[in-house]
Amino acid sequence: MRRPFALAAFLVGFVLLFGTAVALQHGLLERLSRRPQRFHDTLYLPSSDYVKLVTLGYDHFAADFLWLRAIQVFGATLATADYVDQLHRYFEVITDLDPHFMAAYSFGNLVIGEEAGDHKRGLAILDKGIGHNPGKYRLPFEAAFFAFWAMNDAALARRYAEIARACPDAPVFLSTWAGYFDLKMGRFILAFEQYLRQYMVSFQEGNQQLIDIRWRQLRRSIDEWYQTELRQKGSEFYRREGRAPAIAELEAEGAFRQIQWPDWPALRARLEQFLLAGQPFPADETEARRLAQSFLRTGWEQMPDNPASDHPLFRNYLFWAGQAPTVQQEVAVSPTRPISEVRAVENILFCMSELRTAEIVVRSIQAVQELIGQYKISHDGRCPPDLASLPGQGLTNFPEPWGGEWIYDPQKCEVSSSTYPNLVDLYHLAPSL
Amino acid sequence: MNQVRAIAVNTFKEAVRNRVLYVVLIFSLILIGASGVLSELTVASRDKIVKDLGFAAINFFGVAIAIFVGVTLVYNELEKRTIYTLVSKPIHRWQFLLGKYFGLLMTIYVNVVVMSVFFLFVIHWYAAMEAERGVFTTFFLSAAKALVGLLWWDGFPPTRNIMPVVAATAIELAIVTAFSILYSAFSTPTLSMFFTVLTFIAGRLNEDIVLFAENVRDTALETGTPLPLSYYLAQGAAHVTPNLGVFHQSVEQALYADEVTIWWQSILYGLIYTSAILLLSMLIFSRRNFK
Repeated sequence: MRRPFALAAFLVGFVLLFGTAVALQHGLLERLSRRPQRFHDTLYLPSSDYVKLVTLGYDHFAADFLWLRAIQVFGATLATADYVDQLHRYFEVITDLDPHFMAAYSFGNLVIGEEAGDHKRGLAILDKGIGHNPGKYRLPFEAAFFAFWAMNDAALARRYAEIARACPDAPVFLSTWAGYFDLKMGRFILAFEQYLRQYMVSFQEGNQQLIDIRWRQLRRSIDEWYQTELRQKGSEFYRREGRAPAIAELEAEGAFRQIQWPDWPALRARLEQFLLAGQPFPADETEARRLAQSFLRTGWEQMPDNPASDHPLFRNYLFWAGQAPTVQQEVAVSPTRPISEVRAVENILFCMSELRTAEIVVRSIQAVQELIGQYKISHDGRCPPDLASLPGQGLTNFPEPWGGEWIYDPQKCEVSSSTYPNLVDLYHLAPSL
Repeated sequence: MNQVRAIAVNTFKEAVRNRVLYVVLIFSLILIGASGVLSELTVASRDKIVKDLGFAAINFFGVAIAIFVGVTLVYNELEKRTIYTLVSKPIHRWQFLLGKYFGLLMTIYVNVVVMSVFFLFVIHWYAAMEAERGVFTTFFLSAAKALVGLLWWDGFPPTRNIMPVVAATAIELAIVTAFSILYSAFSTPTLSMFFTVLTFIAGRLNEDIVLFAENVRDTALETGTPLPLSYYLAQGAAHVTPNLGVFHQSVEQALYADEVTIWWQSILYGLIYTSAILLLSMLIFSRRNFK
């Protein structure tokens, strides 16, 4: 009888002691969870050479460990100023331990270059990856993307795009990237040559979807060229006369005679001729360049038609004077990035194709009409007396796109633009296009 | 050969009875299994983390068994005086040592095979989970693929490059085991363990020793001074110590290349080097005084 009793006593004692310890621990944990915490990364990372020695050949395993740790540090600190150097060191060591760890280069650039805003070091991480992984398109592709959109450096982006395009695993879409960057750098002739060549090369692939995309890209590139030249000539007029010109006015003063433009109607006719005759396009780079050069013309009296538009009524371009955006809103994603950036107010001349202008006006009017519809539903089908009565934030989200006003007819419940009152009617005349 | 086989089988049976071995094995299996959980923490390269952890676990625990079990094999026989009954029989000392070596190697390879099957299973499991089949179907399918994949190396895309790496690891383990037998042939377990660990480290840093020698040479060439003694010592050490890094390069290929190439030169090097170390062990052991 003694033994079972002793055993029971031990068990009860254990349960009591252990239960008390667990209850106390619960209290400690509660207190811990209520306490405001600040993340401290205490891991000391020496140079990669030492880490490499210490890992004794288990380099990839060590790289993975540091990789997971770097993600945790980034998640806890969002690359705030105190941790940028530490995070940079993490990525340096990880990529030294495992030079082919592609995700580490991409993520390193995202954290250091984009999140912390240290463009130079971010790009250096990608550069290191490009050096260690020649023949892989992904990193130069990301570097081109980063250089263009984060650093606003089209020339640098073009260099990376060229490296990416030369890689054996480069996807088809990269072939026009260099052209795109040329276009953005204002090297229109080079861009035109490349887009034309890519369009012609796409026939060899026999992919109709790709042919359509390349065709659209070619037209848009010429369209952008036209717009840039127009904006320049129009701005000279605007500075002189203090108002936006009409295309006819620029034509009358011979503004286009000195400009070298591609003769779009002639080029289009030639390309159609090739297709109708079933002739293969010249896919060789030199021949394609020669063909592109042969369609460059100067001495234009009249503005050529908009190459991006098939709409019979919208073949031209429009100018309007306005102010450049005063504030550019940015989403705040980390304490190191600004919420908004104030820019100088400037009166400048805008230029856009008629078709694009009409599309924007139509879309904006549709949005306002939608608000009017919502008002009618909640007010027994009655039209709002004015646009200020619209629900929610009303017109603050949908201002007239060209700096004018919405003209509202409360009898018909209809809205029109004060800047371009006739564009919408014209647009609806040929809706199928 | 019969004597060698008999001793090898007995060594294997003896090792299998060792509970430490099971602890090591279970720990390694847990680590390989945990790779899936760890990979949840990453934002990319999940497969890489699972594979890295698996390769590292197989290699590390294989080396650990080779060292910890290997260094006590001969010593235990001497300590328990069982060696006297063996050497009094028509068995040469070299046969005894060779039997011990192959018995231990067999033990290590069985462990490696178990770890590999589990590793293959984990990879197939996570690959199959993405296909969202039922748990039981996934389990049996993954287990079957893992068993088949052990022999049919190219059979399934997710595990194509796994077994060549395991094969390279097996050669590396043969060298480490030979060293643990060599040291245990003339030394105490503690010292043997110490020597084997140092040899393993030197083997893994073999290429760094070469780099060091090259640095010394470059500095001497720049300053116009004759090559120092450290250059010759480093070059000598790089040639004498086992180049274990050459077997580890296959991990890199398994992760990033289309296929793993194990050069015949490395295989030949591994086999010849192991044979040389075993020969040295047999020579030392044959002259050892058991008193």
